[in-house]
Amino acid sequence: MTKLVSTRKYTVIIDEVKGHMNIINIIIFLALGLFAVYSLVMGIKERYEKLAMAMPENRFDQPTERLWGALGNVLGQRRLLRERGAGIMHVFIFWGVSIFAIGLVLYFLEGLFPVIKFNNQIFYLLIDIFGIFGILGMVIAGWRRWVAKVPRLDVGPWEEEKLIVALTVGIILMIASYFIGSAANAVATGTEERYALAPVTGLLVNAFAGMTAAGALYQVFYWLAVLPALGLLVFFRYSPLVHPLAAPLNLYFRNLQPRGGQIKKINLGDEDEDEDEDEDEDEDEEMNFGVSKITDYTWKQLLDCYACAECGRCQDNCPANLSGKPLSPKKVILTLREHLPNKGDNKADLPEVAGEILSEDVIWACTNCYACQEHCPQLNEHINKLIDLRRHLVLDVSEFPGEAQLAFTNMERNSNPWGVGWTTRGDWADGLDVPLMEDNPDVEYLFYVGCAGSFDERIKNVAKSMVKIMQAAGVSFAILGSEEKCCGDSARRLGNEYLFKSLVDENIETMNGYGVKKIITCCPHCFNSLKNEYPQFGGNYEVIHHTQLISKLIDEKKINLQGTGEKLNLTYHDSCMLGRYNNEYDAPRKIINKIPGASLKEMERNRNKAFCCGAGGGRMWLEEHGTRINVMRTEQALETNPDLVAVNCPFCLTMIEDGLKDKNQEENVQVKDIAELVARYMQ
Amino acid sequence: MKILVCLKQTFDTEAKVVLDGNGKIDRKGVSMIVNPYDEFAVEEALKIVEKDGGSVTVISVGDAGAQDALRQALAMGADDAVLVDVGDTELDEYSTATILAKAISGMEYDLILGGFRAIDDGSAQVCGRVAEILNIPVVNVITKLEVAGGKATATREIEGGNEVVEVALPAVFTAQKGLNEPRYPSMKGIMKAKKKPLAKKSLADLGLDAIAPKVKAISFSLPEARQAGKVLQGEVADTTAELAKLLREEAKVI
Repeated sequence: MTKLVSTRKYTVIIDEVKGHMNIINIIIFLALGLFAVYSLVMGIKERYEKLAMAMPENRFDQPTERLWGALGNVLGQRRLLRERGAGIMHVFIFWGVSIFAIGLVLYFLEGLFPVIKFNNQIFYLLIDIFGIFGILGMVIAGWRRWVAKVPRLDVGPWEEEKLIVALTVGIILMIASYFIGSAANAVATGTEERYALAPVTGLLVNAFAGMTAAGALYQVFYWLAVLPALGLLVFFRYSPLVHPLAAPLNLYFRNLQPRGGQIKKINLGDEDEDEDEDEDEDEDEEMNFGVSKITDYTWKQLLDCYACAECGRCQDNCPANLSGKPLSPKKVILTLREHLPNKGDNKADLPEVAGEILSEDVIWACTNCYACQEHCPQLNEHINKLIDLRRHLVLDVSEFPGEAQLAFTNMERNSNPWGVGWTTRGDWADGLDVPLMEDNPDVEYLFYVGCAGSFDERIKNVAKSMVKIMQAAGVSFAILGSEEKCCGDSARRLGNEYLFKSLVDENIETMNGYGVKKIITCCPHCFNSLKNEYPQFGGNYEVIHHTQLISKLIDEKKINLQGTGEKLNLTYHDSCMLGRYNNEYDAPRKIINKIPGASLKEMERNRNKAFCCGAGGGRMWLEEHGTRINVMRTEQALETNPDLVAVNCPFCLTMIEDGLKDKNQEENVQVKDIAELVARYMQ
Repeated sequence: MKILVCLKQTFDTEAKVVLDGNGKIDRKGVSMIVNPYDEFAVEEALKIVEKDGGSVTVISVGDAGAQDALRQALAMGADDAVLVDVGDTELDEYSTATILAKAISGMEYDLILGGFRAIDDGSAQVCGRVAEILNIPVVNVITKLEVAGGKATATREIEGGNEVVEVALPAVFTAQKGLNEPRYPSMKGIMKAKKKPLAKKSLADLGLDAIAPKVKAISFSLPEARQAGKVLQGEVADTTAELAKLLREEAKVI
């Protein structure tokens, strides 16, 4: 009897202690939790304040479209999975940690308030599985980083790595502690049953069976899970690694414009010229058309910096980076992140982005090939950041490579970057019986030839081939002749928006004057600009790339291709403007496959992974130092042992021909535009 | 330092020169530019003023269209401009220089710069004549200029070498290629240029009557069209013989 009483008394005392313990636990948890949440809130607030110092930008339109796209990428991890290895790692971490977190919250609450009893075996099974995913993901991440040392991750010295180590170890510790703590608690409280299906916790329950210190073990591991979990929230305030918080927002606020039309129009002030007449001089001094200080970027441009997870897919696909130029899209983002403004900074005291934060070599190295943005799982926008800096260098301070100045002057005076007299623009068509819009404004298509087709001796043959094809197929078309101006693509991408706009305005006036509705181009730069950029200035046309037209004409049997009896081994080079920018990978390949005797062997980098020729982004007109991008691309083409490299762009054609000369292969391998090929095989 | 730059609007270097029905040069549809040598002069003036302070005035004699050339110089950074609008009056070097000198004589200046020649008529006389009328020294075809203490040191191209000369100011200098790399106007420059003063004067404003040119172009002719090249095909021995024959008989060079 006495024994029974004393035992009961003992239990009561234990319960009492436990009760006190719980109160103490709740107090400690609450204190830590409040601090953690406070830190998180402050971390978000401080970053919001930084972004609020930047320029406004409307990314709040089309909420449904934004939400669905963002969900596809956040929940579906769509873009990440384009790369198997790294993609699966991220799926493990994202889904693992997210679902596991639900179990963790319940676990924390149960520890504080033992009245909560949740015994669903399936639930604990799932939490275990996702917890394992989480650990697995973190281990793969750590392995990629510190064992395999994947180059694009740019593993730095300890000083730079310690935060990432802390994050990796913290998350693994958090999940592992949960497993151990849960099992120990189950043994101590006799709730083993709930983990009957849970693989890890269940295993540990068996291992701990009968352990007297299970309760104490639970206490220790409970806090070993709490500390990293709450620490994570504190971490987000003090570390630049806020990717998990910023990523979903960045995906939601992504650019919804067509890829080829993502360069923003700027108000050059000439539209309301008369009203500005009395503007005072001080305001003039402040006038900036590009980005001078980091706060001249928009908030979304800076949000990119927070969203970046430093995965390096951008630089792994960047021709400038791969050819040893100082530009890495990732480093651009990370360097900007280091220089984000602090609340209260005086704009005048901030450093110049061009020159002081990013070197001018970096800014001019970009070929605008879109590979970085194509492969960025975050849909970050690298190119516009560099174009805004080029705009500053060209429009605001007039400091840029001398070759660009020559191209600008040529475009200004003769509306083509070569600088050939503009009156001779239509001379290539002499004797070909090509009508002028002036005489035949009622034709179905305007054939917009472009500067290369009009003035470059080699490319004139592409334009002539197109004439041959269209005439054979009975296409109703005319050209503008000397009324055509450069489309302006190079000017815009070199930062000269003023020159771009003046060319666009002239072209639109001419084309609208003739009531042009449909345009055929034989240059994907003209194609992209007319299709995606001209609408910003009031030019709306149906624009067709010549490979699209040819493919259609073959389908409609308006032209027939006849074999020469010889076999032709060829490879095909996707231009950035037709491929990545406008998602046309199939039309040119369809045409090639229709050529009798032709056998297409793809280069390793093809379609959306195609390597730029080096001429985009206005780089056609700039000197390239060091390893040349066009030579690299030519080497990639030569790996397929081709007789011929087929292209769809005058710049690519020139660049690859130059590359072949560099490799002394110009006698063995030809470069032909698809139109030239078709004209050759046409009967 | 007050610097004047004489500037001429010329045909673009790529312009295709054609003759109209009267045998005169047809200006229709031709892009007009600042004479490139005058652009060097503008750039040099701006550089001096940026270093030592002062102002740059550009001055041109021509028709109303020459305003565009002056605006270009203003966009580069010149402070103000003067256009003596003579409409379509025919000018020669004598009359142009007389008008320029008359316009300049009413202005303050320490230095006068101009291109050593204009790319259209290429006479290379006007700046020299202006100096003569103003009775100040002229240094032609300079590739380097330093100004200090009321004197200028200029490097000029001479046959087979360079000559460094020192001259007291005020003086006239004519620019040669190599003097500098003219800047590309910034947007800020272009916007400001729209508001900078551009004074338009007639001959009457200058107190001049019509000036009869002393030289008159009688006729213009275009160079003969270049003949197409020939590619000789066949065995090397044959084509070599053929080439030698053609060089002797057709081209008459050997």
